[in-house]
Formats: sequence, structure tokens, C-alpha cells
Amino acid sequence: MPPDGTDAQRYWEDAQENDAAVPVDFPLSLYRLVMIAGAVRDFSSIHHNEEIARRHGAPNVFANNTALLVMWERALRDYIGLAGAITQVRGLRMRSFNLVGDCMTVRARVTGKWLDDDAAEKGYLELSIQTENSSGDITVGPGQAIVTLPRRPPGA
Amino acid sequence: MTNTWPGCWQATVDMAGQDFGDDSVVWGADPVERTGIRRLLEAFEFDCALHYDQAIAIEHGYTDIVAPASSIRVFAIPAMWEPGDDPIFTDPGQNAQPARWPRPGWYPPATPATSAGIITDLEWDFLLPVVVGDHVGIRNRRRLVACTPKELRIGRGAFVTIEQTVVNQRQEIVALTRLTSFNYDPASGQKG
Repeated sequence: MPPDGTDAQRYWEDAQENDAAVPVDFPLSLYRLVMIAGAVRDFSSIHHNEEIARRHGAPNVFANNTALLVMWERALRDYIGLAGAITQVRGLRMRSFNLVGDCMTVRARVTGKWLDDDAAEKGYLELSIQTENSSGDITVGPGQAIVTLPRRPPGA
Repeated sequence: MTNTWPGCWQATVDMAGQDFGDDSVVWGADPVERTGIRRLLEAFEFDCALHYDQAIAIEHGYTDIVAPASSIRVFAIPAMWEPGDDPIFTDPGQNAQPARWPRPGWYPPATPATSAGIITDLEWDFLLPVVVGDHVGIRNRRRLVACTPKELRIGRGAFVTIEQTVVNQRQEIVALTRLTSFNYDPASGQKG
């Protein structure tokens, strides 16, 4: 569920290795890509002009790199809730084009958890994260994200 | 160095590991504001109250509405045009490009000019939150991490990796990024 202040916060103790975040779909219409271009200030024509995209070797217009990062952040945020934080992203590699007319799905899974010290108020998780197209091919990643979650308060 | 691929990239290859640029900061066009955040949330249907509800953001320890981490570089982009600048839209052609891009000096001076480029890899360390009212910019001093000439289906060029530092108005480092682009000339028959 998107964190809106009414959902139960996930605590570090709740997360286990191999936990999967809820996959998030991003249907990529041209309308949406134009909105994205404006929102992330990336007006490169390869992201909204088919003719120019093809001239540059792409099959069609495709999502820009910042868009791919936002998609990952949204999936991570849904998992960590309001009290979590994203501290690091690695391996956001565009393996193939995230094309208009396709639906991208971001999937993330917990691959590790640790504490800096037992008394810390927050703990760390590592998640593997990737974007897939509607054929199931990985188009971005797989990368890794480091996030923090609050520790469960005593008695909670 | 030669003028042909891949030799034309050798001077850039040889700069790997070196810093370039100066200590100035290229600031984003405006301080972070709610409208810019909201437009990003809209495009991605990104429903997180930290990014639109000030009370909830403060309740969670922030001083104001928080910009999504992925938007930090967006808010560090300079204006495409400012009052007093020469026009950037001078050609009415449907596919005409603006006369300038707001991305000054990303690459070392020796980097060959190419007609196309795609950012292929990103790494980020998010060190401090960025909230409404903050003003962020990118330090002009960058590090060339690697330059690797490569021929791909889409064309010949090189993967170029640089490290950038994003600072706020207090000169605090809010994020570090390592960015790889494939700078290339489209394969024969695809040039526009």
C-alpha cells in the first residue's frame, strides 16, 4: 500500500530475507512519457519523438533514466513506508529500451538485513530491484538498494 | 590520438581517475517547490505523503515536504532559457532542436563530440533529505571514473562514467551520483 500516514509502518524486525515488495506497474503511453519529460526536465526528443528516437537507433521512444529511478523509488517507498529512507542505489542499468506502448513492472526483494549496532534506532536492508517489460525481460538492473527501517519500539 | 574511432577517445580514456572542472556550483533554476514535486508525483502516480503533506513530513522529522530522492537531480537542472538570454527556439521545424541544452560541461574537455547520447547506468548515495525551500546544484568539479570505447547495435562511441556531487544552499553534500552515458554517433543509415 502507498504510505499515507494511515498504514501500519513496517519495522526492521518485520522484514525477512526474500520478502518481496508489491510489484508496481508503469504502463508507458506516449501521453505519460510527455508528462514525465516535463516532470523530470528531460526534453530529449528520443523520449517523445518516434522519428528522432529511430534515427538514434532505438525502436521507438523510451523512458529516460530519471524516470527509471523514480519507478524504483516508488516501489521501494511502498515497501519501507513513511519512516523508512532510501540511502543508496546501485546497478540501475538500462539493459534495453523501456518502450512506449509497453507496461514496465518493478520488482524488489530483500536480500539482506543488518544493524550498525544493537541499540540503533534504525536498521538496514538490502534489496535486489529490477524492472521488467511485459514479456518478462529484465530491462533495468538488477540493481541493489540500501534502505533503512525504524526498529520496533519496546512493547509495540 | 586519431580522429577515427576508437582512437579519438584515447585522450579521454587516459583521463580516467582524474578530477576536472572547477569548484563552482551550477545551481538548479529555482529552489525546490511543491509544484515541481507534485508534477513528478502525478506522472508516476507516486502516492507518498512525505512528498505532499507538510504535517506528515514534519511528524516524521523533516522540516518541510520532502522531495523524492530521485528528483534531486531534476531540481539541480539550470533553466533552459532566462531573461536576457539569446533565443533557443529559432527554427520552426517539427523536429528542430533547441539551440542550447542546460547541461554545461558534463564531460572532460577532451571528450569527442557525438551526435547522440543515452544515460545507461546510475548509482546514487542519498546523504541528506532535500525539502521544499532548499536550493540544490551540482558541483562543477567532477571525476572521470572510466571511458570505454564500444560499438553497439545503435552506433559507435564510448561509455563514459563520471561522478558528481549535489550540494544544497548551505554547501552541504546531499547526494553523490555516478552516471554512465553511452555517447555515440548513430550507426550508418540512422543518422538524422
